[in-house]
Amino acid sequence: MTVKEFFKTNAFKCIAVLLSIVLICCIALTICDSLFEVTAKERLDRAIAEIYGESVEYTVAEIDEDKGDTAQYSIDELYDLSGKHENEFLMKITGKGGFNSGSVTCWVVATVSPVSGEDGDGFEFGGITKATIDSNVNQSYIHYITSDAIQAVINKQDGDGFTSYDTNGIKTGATFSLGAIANALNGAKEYVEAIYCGVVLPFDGYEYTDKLNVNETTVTVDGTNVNYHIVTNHGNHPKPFTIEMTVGADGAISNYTIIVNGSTMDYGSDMAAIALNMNGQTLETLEAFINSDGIHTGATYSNEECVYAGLFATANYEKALAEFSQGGNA
Amino acid sequence: MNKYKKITLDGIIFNNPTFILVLGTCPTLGLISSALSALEMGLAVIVILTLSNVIISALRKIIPNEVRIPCYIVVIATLVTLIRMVLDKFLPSVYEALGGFLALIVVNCIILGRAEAFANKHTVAESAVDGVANGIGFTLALTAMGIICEFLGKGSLFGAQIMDFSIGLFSSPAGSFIVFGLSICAFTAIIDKFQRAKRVKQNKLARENLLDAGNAARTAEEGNA
Amino acid sequence: MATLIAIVLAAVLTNNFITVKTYGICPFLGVSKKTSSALGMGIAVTIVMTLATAVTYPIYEYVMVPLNFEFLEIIVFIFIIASLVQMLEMIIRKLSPTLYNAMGVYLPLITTNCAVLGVCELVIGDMSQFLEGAAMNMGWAVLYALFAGLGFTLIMVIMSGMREKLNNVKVAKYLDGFPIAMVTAALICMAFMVFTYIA
Repeated sequence: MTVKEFFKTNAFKCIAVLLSIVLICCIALTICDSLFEVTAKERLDRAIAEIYGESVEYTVAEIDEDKGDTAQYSIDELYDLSGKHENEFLMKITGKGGFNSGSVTCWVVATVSPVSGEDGDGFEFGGITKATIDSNVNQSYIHYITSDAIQAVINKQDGDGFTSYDTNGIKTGATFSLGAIANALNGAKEYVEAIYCGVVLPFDGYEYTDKLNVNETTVTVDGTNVNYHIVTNHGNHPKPFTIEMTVGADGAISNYTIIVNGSTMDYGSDMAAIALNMNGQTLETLEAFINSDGIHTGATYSNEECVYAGLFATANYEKALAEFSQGGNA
Repeated sequence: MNKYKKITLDGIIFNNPTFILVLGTCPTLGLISSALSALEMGLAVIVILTLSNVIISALRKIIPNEVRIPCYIVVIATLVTLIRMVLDKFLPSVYEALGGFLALIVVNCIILGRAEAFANKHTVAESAVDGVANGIGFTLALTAMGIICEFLGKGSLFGAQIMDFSIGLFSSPAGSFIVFGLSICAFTAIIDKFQRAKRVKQNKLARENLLDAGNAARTAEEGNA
Repeated sequence: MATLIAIVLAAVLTNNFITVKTYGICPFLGVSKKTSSALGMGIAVTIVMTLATAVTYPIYEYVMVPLNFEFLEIIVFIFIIASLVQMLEMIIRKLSPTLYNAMGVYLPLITTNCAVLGVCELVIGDMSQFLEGAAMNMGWAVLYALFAGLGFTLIMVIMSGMREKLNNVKVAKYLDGFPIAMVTAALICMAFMVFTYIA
C-alpha cells in the first residue's frame, strides 16, 4: 500500500476526523478559558460577599504580627471595608482553647465608631455585628452550635468582653467550642481596640495575662513587697475569681486569699490544694504544677485561673515593682 | 409541521427521557432534593443537549461510523466545559449548587443517547427541536420531582419556606429514590390511561363510521328496493 | 493510620457512591437483577475506577496544573477512561477468555458510568474532610477510588440479592420494573443512612 493509497483509506479518515475534532475543541476551549477566566481577585470578592451577604468594597489590611497572634486567638485574614461599610472590619480569626485542645475559626465583622475626645478624634470599639463559623479543629460537637448561640455570646458583652457562660439559657452541649468562639470574639475586640482605637491595655507586655481581667486587676507596692488584687476573666465560670496576694523579694507568695471564688457550684471543693492556698509558692513551683497532671482535679478551669493569677504575680514581680513603686496604679 | 409536533410531544411526554426511558438517573437522584437546583440542572441540560444535537447532526456526514462515539464524547465534553466556565464566571451560585454533577453531564446517557439515536440520522432543524424537547422533558420531570421532594423534605418551595414541617428522609437520597420510583409509576399509569382512552375513542369512532356506512348502505338498498 | 481508616470508612460506608452520592445509578438499576452479574459489574467498575484514578490523578496534578490546562480536565479524563476501558477489554480478552466472558460484557458500559468520572473529579477536588489532616497524594487518591469501588460493589450485591427475592412476588402492574427497584434502593439507602452518624 502506497502512502497515497493510505490517505484514501477509511482508517486515515477516522483518525483525521477524530484528531481534528479534538484539536478544534481544545483550541475553542483555550480561547474561552481566557475569555471567561475567573481571577483570584474575583474569587476573593465572591468569598467575602458570601460571608457578608452582599458584595462590599474592601482593602486587604496588614495584620500586626505581635497583636495578631496570642495564646487566645490568631488572626488569619483581615479586610478593611470601605464604601457604605466604612469603619467595619472583616476578619478570619481563630479562637483557641476549644475542646480537645482544638480551635474554632470564625468570620467576624467588628465595627468601630468615631469619637472625639480631649486628645483629638479617634475611634472606639463599636461591637461585633456578625460572626459565622468557618472551620474547626477537633471540635466534635461543633454542629450543636447554632447561630442563636453565637448571637447570645455576642449579646453577652459586658465591660470585660464576651463570655460563653450562661448565654441566656441557650445550651449547646459544646461548651468548649463555644468558649473558643468567645475567645475569637474577644480577640477581634482586643485587636481592633489595640490597632485601630489606640487602646493600650493595662499590663501590656506583662507575662501570663491570658486569664486575667486586666481592667480590674490592681497592683500596689509596699517596700519590696508587691500586693496584687487580681480579678480573672471568666471563660467557663459563673463569676470571675478575685484573689489577693503578696509577692516578696524572695519571689514567694504570701497572704494568699481568695476573696471571691468563681468556681461553678459544687466544683469549688474539687480544687487543688495549691490553688486554694498558694502561700510559699514561687514561679518555678507554679510552672511545674501547671504542666503536671495535678491540675486535673475535676475543677481544672478554676485551678488554672488561680494558678495563672499566681504565675502573673510571681513572674512580673520585678516589672511591677519598678512600675508601681511610685505608688501609682494601672 | 406535523413532524416537529410529533418530535416535541415524543421528547416531552411519550418518550420522556426521565420517566419513560429512565436515563440520566444520577443527576436526577442527586439534585431533586431541591427544586431550584433541579431546575438549574434541567436548564443546563437543555442548552447542552440542543447544542450537542445541532453540532452532531451538522457533522453527521463527516464523522465516520467507527469513531462516532469518541467524537460525540469530545463534542459533549467541550460543551460541558464551556457551560462550566460560563456558569463559574457569571452565575457562581448555580455553579456551586450543581457541584460535581455539572461535570458528570458528560456521561449523562440522555445526551449521548439522543446523539446516537436521533441526531446522527436527522437534519439539523429536527435535531435542534428534538434536543429542546428532550431537555424540556428532563427539566419538567426534574422540577416536578424537585418540588415534591423539597416540599416534603423541608416544607419549602424553591427555597421559600411555606410550611413549618420537614420529613428529613426526603432530603436524603433514600427519599429521592422513593419519589423518583413512585413518579415513574404514576407517569406511566397516566400515559397508559391516556393512550388507552385515545385508542378506545378511535375504535369507537371507527365502529360508528362502519355503522354509519352500513346504515347508509342499508338505506340505499332500501331505497333501491 | 487514622487517615487510612477515615478514608476506608468514608469511601465504603459514610460517603458510599450509590447511597449517598448517587453516582453510578444506571448500572445499579440496570445490572442488578442477578447476583452473579451484579458482582461482575461491581468488580469491573472497581478495577476501572482504581486504574482511572491512578492515571488521571498524576496527569492532572503533575502535567495539567503546572501547565495551567485545568480547564481541559473533562475532555482529558473522559478520553483516558474510554481508552483505558478499551485497553482493558483487549487485554482481558487476550489473557483470559473465562474472565472475559464473566466481566467483558460490562466493560463497554463502564465508559459512560458516572461513578468512574465522578471519582476522578472527586479526588482532584477538596478531599480534606476524609484525610484527618494528612496531605493529599496519589496513594490516598487511588486508595479512595479502590474503596469507593468496593462500596459500589457492596451495594450492587445487596441490591441484586433483594431483587432476586423480588422476582418471586407479584408486583402491581405499574410498580413493576424500575419503580419497585427504586423503592428497594430507597430501603438500602435508609439502612446505610445509619453509617452517616459514625462520621
